[in-house]
Amino acid sequence: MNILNLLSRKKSSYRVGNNRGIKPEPHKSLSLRSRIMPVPLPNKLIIPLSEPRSEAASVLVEVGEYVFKGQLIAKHEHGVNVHAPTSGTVTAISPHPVADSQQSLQTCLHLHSDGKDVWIKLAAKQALEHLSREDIFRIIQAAGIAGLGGAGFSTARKMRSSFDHSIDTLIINAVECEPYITADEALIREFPQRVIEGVLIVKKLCNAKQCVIAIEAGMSDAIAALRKKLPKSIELKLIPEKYPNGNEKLLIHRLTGRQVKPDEFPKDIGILLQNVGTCAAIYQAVMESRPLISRISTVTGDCLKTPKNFEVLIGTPVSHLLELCGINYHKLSRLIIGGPLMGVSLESAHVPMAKTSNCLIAGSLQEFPAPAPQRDCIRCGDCANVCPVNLMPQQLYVFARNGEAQMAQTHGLLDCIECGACAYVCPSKIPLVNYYRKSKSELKLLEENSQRSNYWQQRFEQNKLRKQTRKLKQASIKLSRQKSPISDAAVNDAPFSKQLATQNIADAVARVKLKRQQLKKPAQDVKDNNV
Amino acid sequence: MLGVGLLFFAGLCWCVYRLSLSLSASSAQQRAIANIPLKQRINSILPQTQCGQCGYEGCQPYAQAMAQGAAINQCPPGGDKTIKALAELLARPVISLNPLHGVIVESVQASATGLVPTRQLAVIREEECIGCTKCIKACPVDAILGAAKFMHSVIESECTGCDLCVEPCPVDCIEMISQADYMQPQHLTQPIAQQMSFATTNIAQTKSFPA
Repeated sequence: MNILNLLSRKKSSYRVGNNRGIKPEPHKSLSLRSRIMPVPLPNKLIIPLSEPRSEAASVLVEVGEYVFKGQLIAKHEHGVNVHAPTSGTVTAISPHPVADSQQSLQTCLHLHSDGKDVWIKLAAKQALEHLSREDIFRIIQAAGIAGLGGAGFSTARKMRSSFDHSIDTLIINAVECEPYITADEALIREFPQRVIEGVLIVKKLCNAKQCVIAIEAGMSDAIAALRKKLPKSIELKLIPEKYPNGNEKLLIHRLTGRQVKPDEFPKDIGILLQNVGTCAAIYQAVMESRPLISRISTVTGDCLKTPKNFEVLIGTPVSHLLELCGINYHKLSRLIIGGPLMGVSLESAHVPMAKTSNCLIAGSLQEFPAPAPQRDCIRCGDCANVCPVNLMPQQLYVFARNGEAQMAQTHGLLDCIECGACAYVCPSKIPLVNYYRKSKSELKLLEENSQRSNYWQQRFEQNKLRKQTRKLKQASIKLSRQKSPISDAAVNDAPFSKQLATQNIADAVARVKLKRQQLKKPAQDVKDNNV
Repeated sequence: MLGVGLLFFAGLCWCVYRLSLSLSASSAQQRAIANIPLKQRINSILPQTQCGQCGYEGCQPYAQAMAQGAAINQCPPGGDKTIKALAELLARPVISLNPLHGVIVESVQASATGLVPTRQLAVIREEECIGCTKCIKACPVDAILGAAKFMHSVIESECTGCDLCVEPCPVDCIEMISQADYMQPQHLTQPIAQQMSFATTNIAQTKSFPA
């Protein structure tokens, strides 16, 4: 078995290149019936002030202050700036639950809208030709643009760090492979010009030779709209409809044949990947000098009368959107932000929409039945058949369950993209991704521990060395002190001579006299002064 | 007939070639490991807390002693995991920890691989410290900062949790706490936990999405 394994093992650690994955019911037509609609102003907005996994922002406004629409309210040196989505009064700045997988409370700004929606005076628009690369960077940073695909990482920072490497290919990700979500499709369908202009700006910024928009083959309206306006410098590639084809690593491999290793970023192999929504936001920031205060989000699900795509202001409470679409609370069993496979399940509807919230699903019990109990693995191999990165999920599961994280690592655990396709097809309903995540965190802990123990060992050795040298030094000092009475010994051993003895006594008396005089002198000085 | 024979021969050659490749690769790996002296390989398994609970002056001396036949169950900070790894490396039977050398402190995770000790940290109650420098001298990794007649403090990132500073303290102002408590004191976590009425579950994990 061991030899067979060795024979079949490929040299690269990362294995893609199949067309595996799953095909869940798309449910996309629900929200595509109508055009993108603006949301009527909610009374109260809750704006998260820092994106997940970034340092705290410096808040620029105070409670009770009036803010204009588009006014900068929180500044990040390297992260994502936050702007007021509408005009109104700041009522509080306090921690509030947000929709992220970290289950955390985040500092949010509560804004009471005045209903007037007054814009702050925006910077004058400039023609693209007059803007230098540095200017465009500054605009993107100032406009608070984050990756709208899901990670929410600062776009300006991502691009800047990418340009230290030479980028040859720019890939625009418009593959919305998860069911229900149609935000990108609606965006392309209705604003193809905005998307294309945005892509051209990014292309100009990164000096890429090649530029590809990867779009799902099923988005026929969006493809037609793009084709009409597409310049020759941008290529359009159709990607088959399968989950998780929109994954960054899989997409890069499919389009360029290059592989992103587990500890690498796309920029390391000369590729920049941007979400299509991010490109549209960049266009709005650069050409219309409009900060990122809204995004296009899908609000859908079986419990809604009129599922739609909305242009949602960042900070709009989920409950406001649900009521707008005519929610049937009796039917509602599950609220999800993000896609049904990668998203986050909400427990309350008093959560704001963030820059990364591309979809809101209000699902009924029929759509999302209660989780079935987990049963034993029967090693059917269904998971291995769907794994898009050619891993053996059943084997990884065994290692993860037994706490053998290192064995799981040798079987490619770090290549797992946590797409959840394996858990989706598992007939025993095993939450496989949970096990992989646990195993990955164990690996991380092991790595930390080994680093720490190496460091401790080093410190211990240094400590020992220092103590030894000090001991040696003290011993040598002691030795030299012991040696100093040698003169006494020499005196004792020397033959007695009367002349030498009287000489010594006279010397000693003279020394004492001199010392006494020196001691008296200052005393006399003091007396003189007193007189 | 000849063609079939040739084809078969070629296939056989390829098989032998691949086999030799894989064998040479694995043996090269084994040789590389074998080149590291045994005591070093043992030492890399030990937790490096330098606590001396094993009866030796530090992890390295204990590793050397084990290479010469000392018992493998004398390391409380390592826990069952370390004993298992040592048994594997030295081809000896897995035995439980010798209680004469101490106990595993607060095994919060009793995982499938046995008891995993939590990391311990020394913390000085600084208002009680008289600045005698005795703990500074006892610390094997120089993790305590301070001077004579001035308050001392433990540098958290450097502390191995070896317990050696507790005994020499004349006013008993040093206590050992587990790292989990240090990172999240209870009075800080409580209100957040109460406020969080959130179940963030990945839907793919909970398996409720219809097929």
